Amino acid sequence: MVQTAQPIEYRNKIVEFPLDNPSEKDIPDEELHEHLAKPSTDRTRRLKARCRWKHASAGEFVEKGVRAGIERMRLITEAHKASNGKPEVIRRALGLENILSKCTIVLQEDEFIIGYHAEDPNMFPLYPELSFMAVQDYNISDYAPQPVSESQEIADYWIPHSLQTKASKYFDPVDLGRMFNVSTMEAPSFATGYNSVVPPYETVLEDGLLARIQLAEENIQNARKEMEKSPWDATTGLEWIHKIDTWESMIIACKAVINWARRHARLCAIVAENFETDPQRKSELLEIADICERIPAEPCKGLKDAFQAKWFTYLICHAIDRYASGFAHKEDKLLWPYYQKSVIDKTFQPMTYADAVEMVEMERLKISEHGAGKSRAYREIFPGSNDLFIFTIGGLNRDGSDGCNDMTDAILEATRNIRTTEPSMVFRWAPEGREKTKRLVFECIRDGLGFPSIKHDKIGTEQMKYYAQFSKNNNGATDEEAHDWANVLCMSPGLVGRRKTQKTRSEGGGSIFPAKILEITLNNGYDWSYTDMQMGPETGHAENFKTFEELWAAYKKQYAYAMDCVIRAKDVSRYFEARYLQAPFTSAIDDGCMELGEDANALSEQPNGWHNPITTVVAANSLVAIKKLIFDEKKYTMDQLLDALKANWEGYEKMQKDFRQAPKWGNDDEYADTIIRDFYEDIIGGVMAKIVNYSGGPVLPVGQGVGLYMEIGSRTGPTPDGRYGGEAADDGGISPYMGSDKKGPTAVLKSVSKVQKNQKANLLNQRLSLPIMRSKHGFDIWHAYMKAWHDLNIDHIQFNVVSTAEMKAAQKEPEKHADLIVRVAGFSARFVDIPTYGQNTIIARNEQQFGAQDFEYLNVDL
Amino acid sequence: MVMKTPLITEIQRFSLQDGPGIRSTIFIKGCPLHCPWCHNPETQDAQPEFYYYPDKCTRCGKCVEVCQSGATSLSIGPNKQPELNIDRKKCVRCMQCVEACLYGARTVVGKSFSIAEIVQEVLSDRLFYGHSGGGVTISGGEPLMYPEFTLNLARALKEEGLDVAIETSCFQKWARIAPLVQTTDLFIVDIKSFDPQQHKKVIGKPLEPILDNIQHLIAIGANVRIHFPIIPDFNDLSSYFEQCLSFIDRFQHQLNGVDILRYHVYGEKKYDLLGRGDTYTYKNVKPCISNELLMFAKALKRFNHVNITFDGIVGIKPNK
Repeated sequence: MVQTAQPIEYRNKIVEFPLDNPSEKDIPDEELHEHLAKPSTDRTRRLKARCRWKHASAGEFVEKGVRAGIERMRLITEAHKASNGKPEVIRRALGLENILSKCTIVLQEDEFIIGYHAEDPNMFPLYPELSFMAVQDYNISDYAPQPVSESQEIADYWIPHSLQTKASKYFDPVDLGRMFNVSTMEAPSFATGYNSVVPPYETVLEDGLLARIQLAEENIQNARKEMEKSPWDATTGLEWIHKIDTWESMIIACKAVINWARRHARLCAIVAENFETDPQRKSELLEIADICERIPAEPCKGLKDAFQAKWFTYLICHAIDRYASGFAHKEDKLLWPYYQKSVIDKTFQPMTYADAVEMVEMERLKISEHGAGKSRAYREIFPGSNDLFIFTIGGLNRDGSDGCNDMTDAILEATRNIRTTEPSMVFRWAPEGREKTKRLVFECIRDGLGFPSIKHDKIGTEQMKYYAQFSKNNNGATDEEAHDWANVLCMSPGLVGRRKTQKTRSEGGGSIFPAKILEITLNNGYDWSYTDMQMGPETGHAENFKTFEELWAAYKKQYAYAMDCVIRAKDVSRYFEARYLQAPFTSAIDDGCMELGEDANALSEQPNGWHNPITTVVAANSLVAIKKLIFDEKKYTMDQLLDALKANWEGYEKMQKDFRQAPKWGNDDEYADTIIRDFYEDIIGGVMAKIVNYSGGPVLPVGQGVGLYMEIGSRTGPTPDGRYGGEAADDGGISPYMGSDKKGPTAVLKSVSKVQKNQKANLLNQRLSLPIMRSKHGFDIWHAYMKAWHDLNIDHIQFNVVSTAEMKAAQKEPEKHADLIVRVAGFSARFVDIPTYGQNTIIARNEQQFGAQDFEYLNVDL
Repeated sequence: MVMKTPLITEIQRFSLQDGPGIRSTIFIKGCPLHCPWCHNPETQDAQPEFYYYPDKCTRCGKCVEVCQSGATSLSIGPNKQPELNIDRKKCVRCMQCVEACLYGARTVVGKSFSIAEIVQEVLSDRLFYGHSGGGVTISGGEPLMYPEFTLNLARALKEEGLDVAIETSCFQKWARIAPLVQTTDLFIVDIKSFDPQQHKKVIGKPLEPILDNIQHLIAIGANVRIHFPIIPDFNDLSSYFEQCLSFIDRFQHQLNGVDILRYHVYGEKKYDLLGRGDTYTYKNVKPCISNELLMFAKALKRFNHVNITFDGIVGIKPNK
């Protein structure tokens, strides 16, 4: 039973402290946090109860019965075989058409937003044309598509056509071998098939696909006229061939999508007219049928239209035409015109604010049920989730006015109500943002959701302008368009809108591992602790380095080598994607591709290059310790350090203590912070920024841990920050190493604010105390903290508000929770330093027991 | 005369419960009172001490090798396991053992800082003070054990334009307190008892000068916030609550605020770490939840002219 507060007598009446959600009454204490969920309607409660989650844990799917379907791979292969000889871009469109005209249509009980990307809601599709290795990976697992023999045949069929086969040829096998080891860098993107996209939803909602088809037809007519012009000029005239093919592919794709949507409409009508007995659901199905008949062919007229059109577009771009991770869009801005029509003006699909909240809850459940067929390695690095579903809200409009509106609030409220881990959310923090919305942001964080994560609005906007200057066709974001950005994946901003959005992962994503690179730099490029291979160029034996600067220079060379490898792999992938894996539908809905007759993979108007260094802080703290103890104080020699590291510090405990005690990142310490700032700005960012990628712009670092900090930590030997070999690395991009920030959350912000140059984004984890955040002063304290965060010009921050589960886990394994801080009057304590019964009182206090909160409640009216 | 300089146990940034807003709190080591429930036992003794963490100790004996006074020794326990013994009475506080320990099983409590160093440290968070109406709190221990140092520190902080609070028992000669009034934005003072005999007996020092000083501060218009700690088996009695109420009644128009702080057990582990677990008489004492306390809470609602909190989170003040 959950603890509730005793009633008290107050102002001549008995005041009780009932649970906000009465169903919590029978829930055991340790599960209470999971039960903060309050779906706003019976429908969303039922939808949530039967949601088929695709979460993976340690690489295994958590729910029984989840597996890969064969339908999509069968249909794409069938079309590929049948279209031999046609232009490649047309073949891609015909592939999509074959899938959409023959695939199973899924309609589920209670749904209002409909559509799925596989033949069964327990399944997800595979993409043999992207990565035959990923299919092979499934074929040997419990999640194999059935029949497996057919799946294997399909995988084999695609080997000669694959990106991997096409791209590998242009790489030295030695470099490839190093990449496939995932020790200093991630495996090449042409092998994994991992991708991401930001669909230009706006054109679908605003224009409708019929208008896009008309545009393409006009462009073809115009092209034919241009080709027929006299006198013939081959230097311009031949370019039209490829453009005409591309526009034709767009028409095929758009027609296929309209047809597929109308198959949904017909199914709804058939079910309504022949099978549905509940009159209310029957009329609802007829309404859905009407929506799917009109959109995405025609422009959206109300909020229901907009949600459905968005969902269809999402499915095609992210899951049916190709696999691409992400859920990038600026949802409140995108939906606001339709919210106004339906909720405020009530001119079409009239509804209330509460109805809009329910729509958002239903959309969140669609995402929660969505699944991607990622390989085992990729499932492992996203523990407890399925894919990177992240969207963005808040910020400023183009004219600099506050971008928060009632749609923003409805999204936040639905998120708090339905309490699903996916999709995650980014809030763009601007001082102009209204307090009402910020309070809802706070409530989501306070309830322990872990999101919204918060991005600095102005830094993101300035970044769009910065990249725009490198545009290859001189058509990057204008100063106005620069305001329209959302996070492409977890951390990194990119444009949203009708054109110039990011279409492929060659611009972003993929990892490099600075801690491992430090390890091999100390060993002349050799990785003694994991692969037992030469992993980089020979940059000299560390024991011969006379100065810290020599070590710095050697590190820079190793890092540059790995960076060049990974970016080259991404750009070579893109070269072949543009020729063999075109995306005609995504091209059709992008104004740039439509105007220029270019494929979405090929056209780059706004550069947005980034790559993720993971384990940067371990490398940085190590460099600080080396500089201080070996080069400045000369307390130890490099030989001694190398011996100690090879011995995993055994027999060198005194040394380890000194290296551990060397200054660490996150303590506002000038000695450490100066070196680490230079490390971020000159090496991590500086080396990347020198690279020019496919789009003609620089590549900048996006520091984030993903789930890789543990995985890569296990592959990284002992490091000079005092860490043992195999221990986890730092969990953020710029967050202090776990437990090494001793001076509290303000000192962390001060350290982090020192890194400014050559960075795209950097993840900062912060933990706040739950009793304080849940007190009536919580919002004000957090708000003051956030204002200082904004003034310090820091890119990102996300909060863990300590949960009961966390504290209980800390009781079981105290050594893993040394940094869990609780604060009480005049005094602060590490949670693990408090006696068990004291810990229990804190745990109880967090859960509405008679205690501080009740006094707080009294205090409100004192 | 040379100014007495205290040791500092901690400069705690992001303090939320030592006055308004986001603050940095400077904990001074040394206190003339000895409240048996004290939750910061490391601030009682003015001399340096060390924490000993038995769970981190490997009994390697490095500390025994360097110990000059014989305070640390190894022996074989009943289970034939090595046992580490510390006789704190013999310890001359040279801290060699802390230096020698490889496993972080000993840490020094109490370090010297110059006023300039303290000012530099707390200035780092100026931005946070500005946004939250916070500042710096000089706490302890007892800052007024070092009146000259505290005055100079408060002045130095004031010169930087920071909000300065002093958390004190007010057990000091008035002449030593008076000069602080000009440089201190807020005095946070405890009244632990209204019974002079009980006060003298349990805390070891007379109550009268404390109450006199507090009333002096109020009378000359200093900004004063009162802490009423609620201590089980000491003052959780209706007689104390009644006197608290009449005190608030008398001064509510002149006070900055009142914080009701219920006893908590979070300090217990520190007694063990300092080797004083045996002397801690509040071990296992539960925080009070009594009807008298409820009635007291209810009675507090009649005061409209003073800000009252439970457990001390004052909250954020608007920008100055």
